[in-house]
Amino acid sequence: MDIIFKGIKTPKNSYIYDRGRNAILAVSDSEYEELEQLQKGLVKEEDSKVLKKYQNEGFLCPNTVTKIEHPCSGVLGHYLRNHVEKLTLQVTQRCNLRCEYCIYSGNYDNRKHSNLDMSFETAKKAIDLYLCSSGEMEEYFVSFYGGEPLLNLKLIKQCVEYIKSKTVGKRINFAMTTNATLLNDEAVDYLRNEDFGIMVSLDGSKKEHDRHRKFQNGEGSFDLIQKNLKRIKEKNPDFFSKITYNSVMNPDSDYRSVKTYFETDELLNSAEILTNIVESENPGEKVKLSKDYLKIDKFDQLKLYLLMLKKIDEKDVSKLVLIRARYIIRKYQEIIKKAEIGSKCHHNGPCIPGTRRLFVNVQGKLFPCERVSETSSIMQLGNVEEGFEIEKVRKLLNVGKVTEDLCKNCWALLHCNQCIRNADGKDHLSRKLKMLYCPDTKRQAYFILKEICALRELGCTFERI
Amino acid sequence: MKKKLLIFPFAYCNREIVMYRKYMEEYTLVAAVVQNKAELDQVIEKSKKFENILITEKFEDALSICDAVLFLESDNMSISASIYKNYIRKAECSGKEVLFSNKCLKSLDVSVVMESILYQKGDSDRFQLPENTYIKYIDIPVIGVMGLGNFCNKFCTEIEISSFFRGKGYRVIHFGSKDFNGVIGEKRYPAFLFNQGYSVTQRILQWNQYLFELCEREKPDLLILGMPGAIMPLNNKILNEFGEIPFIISNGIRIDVGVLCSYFYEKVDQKYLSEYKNYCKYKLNCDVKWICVSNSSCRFNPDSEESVLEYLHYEPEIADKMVVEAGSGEKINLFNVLNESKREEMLQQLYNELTENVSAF
Repeated sequence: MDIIFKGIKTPKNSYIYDRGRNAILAVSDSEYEELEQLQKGLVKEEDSKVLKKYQNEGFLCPNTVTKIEHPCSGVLGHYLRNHVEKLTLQVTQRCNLRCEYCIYSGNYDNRKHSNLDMSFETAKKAIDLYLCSSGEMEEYFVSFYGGEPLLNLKLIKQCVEYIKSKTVGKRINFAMTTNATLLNDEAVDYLRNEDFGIMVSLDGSKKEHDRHRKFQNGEGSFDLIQKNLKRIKEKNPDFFSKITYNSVMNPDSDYRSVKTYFETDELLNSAEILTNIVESENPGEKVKLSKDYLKIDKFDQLKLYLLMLKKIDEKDVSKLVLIRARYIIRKYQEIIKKAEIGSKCHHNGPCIPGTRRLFVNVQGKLFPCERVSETSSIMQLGNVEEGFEIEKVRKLLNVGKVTEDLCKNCWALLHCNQCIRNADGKDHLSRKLKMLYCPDTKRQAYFILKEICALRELGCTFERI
Repeated sequence: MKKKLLIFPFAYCNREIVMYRKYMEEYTLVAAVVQNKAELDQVIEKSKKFENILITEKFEDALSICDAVLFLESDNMSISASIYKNYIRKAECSGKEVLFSNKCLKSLDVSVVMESILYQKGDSDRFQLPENTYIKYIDIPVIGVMGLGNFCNKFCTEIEISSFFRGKGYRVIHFGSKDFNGVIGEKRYPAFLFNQGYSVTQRILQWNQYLFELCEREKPDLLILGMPGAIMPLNNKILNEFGEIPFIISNGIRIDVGVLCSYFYEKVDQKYLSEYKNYCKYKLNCDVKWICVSNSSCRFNPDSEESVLEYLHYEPEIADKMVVEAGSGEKINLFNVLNESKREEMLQQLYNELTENVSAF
């Protein structure tokens, strides 16, 4: 049978997700069973009245996907010449911390910490490349990364001056991710004057943070960070209020403590917090978080649903989970369009490499973002001397090709968020590695569709919170 | 003798003023100031037709060779008001005539422009409400040119149609969709059309009466109506005023032939395009037989939750790809207005359509 769909059941009702229309159909239990039997081959298509009923309305039609190809493939050149959105400069590979889960710690298939700094020449070439390639953007976005970028504040200042001298009229947004240990008065004054957006890496209370985020001598970094943040709040309250925080959850994290800290701490209780789960050291392997984490997280999700159903207030919901509401609403808005899938399609997940976030490392090599391995040749898009290698970029853009036969018939195609990193085989795109992520991807896709069904049953209108 | 004109800024959204400068009646375009080199290359590459014009980043250099300065809007008004203010002052101190497009004027602070001369050509807003409360029949052929949004090459299409028919010796009245069209010599829509103080019905009646009197007076052979704005919302957030102005225009006079200007899409077919045709038929009472494919496409800004558009401007030839991909059907023909031979073919077909129609009272 060449009709791609997936059954979804909530405690109350039955649904069918139709991939051909990216739509969810509310069906009766008997219809659900017949369609299940159809899927198993126990009922013939021509004999199924249920199928005919839905096909007459334009649903559950035969699969039209013949090719896995990213819709921007034909205009990729244009994107790379005119539509690069953000530039991230790795100003240094030095870091004054030795966080145990750092992707540069040697535990991951990536470079390790080093003493390399980006030269101003390399930075200028990267900036020139970005400015030449972003003509269609209304604003410029330039961020600074490391290691710890504040270890090379001198270069950052040079870059900021250079960019300002080369641009007239368009707004320039500067940003930085920092461990906050070097946010002294001089640095803060500068960053404030240039209106930098700052993200601070902070893993929770002292106990949680110092568990992994340590100086090279093994001492925790929490106390110094707190001191710096307090001073910033006192002297520069406006600047302080705009700082955002990134918190990494590890298997041994006490999630309850982390949550409580960010929700109640006097300094940070009104700050915006992003949480991420630590990267697995083995491709395809899920990080096993504690039962306590899972329990608390599920309860927070429940409260989120109650918020979306307008049964409780936003203040009663952990801000660590609020971002998920936006994701659910966005998914719902996609579903209700009931857009027909075309003959050429590609799963979501891969951005247009080099355009969403162009990452330039100290050696002037170009990468799709700071999260890919710098030691992977397949992930390198080019360099600041010669620019983009367009055919390499096109290959990464069409990462779905390595699993084309599977993707063409996969019910979760339109809800798959697999990124090119999942297929990083160092010198090639690896089908085997990519497939390791498929089961979890499908689980997540199924879960969100089920969430939408359940919320809708309960009267959710999916309005923005 | 024509006055020498400088435009600022020269941006992609204003490129038509350079492309069609030969139609300027009072002015000769001598200079265009662009914001920065990176954008300069992009705009020039797309426009191509810029011979004998000084294109520069240096406003002062351009100012020295002109008599008048026309300030236009930039792409999404990304240029700060302070830059405009600085240039306006320089223009005034140099004794130049200072002109503004309406869009530019609306976005700038009043204090920036109050010392300058306001450019207003065309009819004023003083118009008496008609005594009649019915739509009068106007027996002139009408071509309506409408679009899905910004950068659909709508103005290019209008100008090409207008110049083609004028070349054939017809008296053409062309209402342009762009608000700098007065400089290029096209007619501007009367201000009451946009006046929210009048109801939609009142504006339709006024517009009908206005056109009726205009046609009685000037006796054109053909009316070309370039419709400002988009004909429909893009989604539930980008509303495009629900196509209010095209709705008013098309209800004030019957449109005989419609040309719809669309974005470039990688993948499109006749079935998809016929949905637009139906929309124009039932909302605007207009039979769309031609769709002009632009060399620009739009997409949602990834951070905007589908509430903000970004535009991509490709090489002019890319539109031919969509023309071929979609094919031509019995009912809808696609063309690329920037492709000279295809454009001429389309114009000839349009001409045949209008001249070979059965003439019935």
